[in-house]
Amino acid sequence: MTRRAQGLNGWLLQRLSAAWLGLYAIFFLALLLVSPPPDHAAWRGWMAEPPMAVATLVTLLLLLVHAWIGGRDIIQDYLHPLAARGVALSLLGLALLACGAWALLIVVGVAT
Amino acid sequence: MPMRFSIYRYDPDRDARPHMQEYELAEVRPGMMLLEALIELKRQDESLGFRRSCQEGVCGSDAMNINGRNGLACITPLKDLKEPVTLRPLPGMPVIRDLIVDMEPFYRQYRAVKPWLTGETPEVEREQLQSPEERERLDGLYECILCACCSTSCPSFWWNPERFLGPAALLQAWRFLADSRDQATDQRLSLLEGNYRLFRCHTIMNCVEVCPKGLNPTRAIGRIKALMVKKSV
Repeated sequence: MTRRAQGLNGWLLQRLSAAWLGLYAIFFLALLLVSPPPDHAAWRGWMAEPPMAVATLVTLLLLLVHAWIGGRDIIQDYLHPLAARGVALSLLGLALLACGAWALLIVVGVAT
Repeated sequence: MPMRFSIYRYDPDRDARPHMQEYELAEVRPGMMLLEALIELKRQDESLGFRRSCQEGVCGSDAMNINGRNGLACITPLKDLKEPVTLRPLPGMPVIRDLIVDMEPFYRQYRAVKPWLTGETPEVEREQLQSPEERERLDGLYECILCACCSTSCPSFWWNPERFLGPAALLQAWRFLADSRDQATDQRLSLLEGNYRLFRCHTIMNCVEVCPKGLNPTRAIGRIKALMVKKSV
């Protein structure tokens, strides 16, 4: 992903993902305020609705992309020795992938 | 009223490390600028080194860090400064002596954006006219005096001076991209692609904050990005 997320593409992806994440957050909070699910079963049912599950999956993917570009930029800014940078980028990538996989299991588990 | 100064001193030939030296100016005249104070202090201590030339904010020679903020000594009124007035060389630049820095890394960035008109080959031998509107697009860009206040206040420039071009050079990159007579748009944009030259700008906007000419490099950088997006769709 790094190669394709360079320069202009990375900058655009970061902005587009931020816009989606902002909209999702507003939508999610509004739903919670307007009709909060009364119990756990209602909450599961709500998250299992296909549009909600798909929107949540897209959000998770974009959150990972956004965090990757932001984290990578910080590491590129401040960490100059190549070996240390490689290790830090790998750790960041692995941590994000692990978070992504875990979140995917949760969303798919609720939706199926 | 006397005024106190604390000035960065460093002579690489004699000093192991830089130190701050205290000075006192016996009399501050009304309307006095910082550069006039420095000239008086140099009468007290001839070894004090700083650059100056036009003394009216046009040449950009006397850019320095004044009480933590970059600016031109010649247009900074003493009455606006808190005591002791702390003077340091422009941050992130190699120091030649005292307040004099090596501007070469900054000029290298400026040269990298090819700051000249690139037209048809062979060059046309007539005037290249612009409409008033086309000329207006260069306002806020051509006025840059290359004092380096902006670039040396930019954290992205401090961390990656070899690879990030810095706000001053990027303002000039846009100055030529915006010029109706220039025909090298694609080459200029491809030069700025990649993760570093342009995209290390994180819109911190220190450059806008300190520019003594009131220019806005962040806006110019934004326009370059917008043009890149337009060209790529």
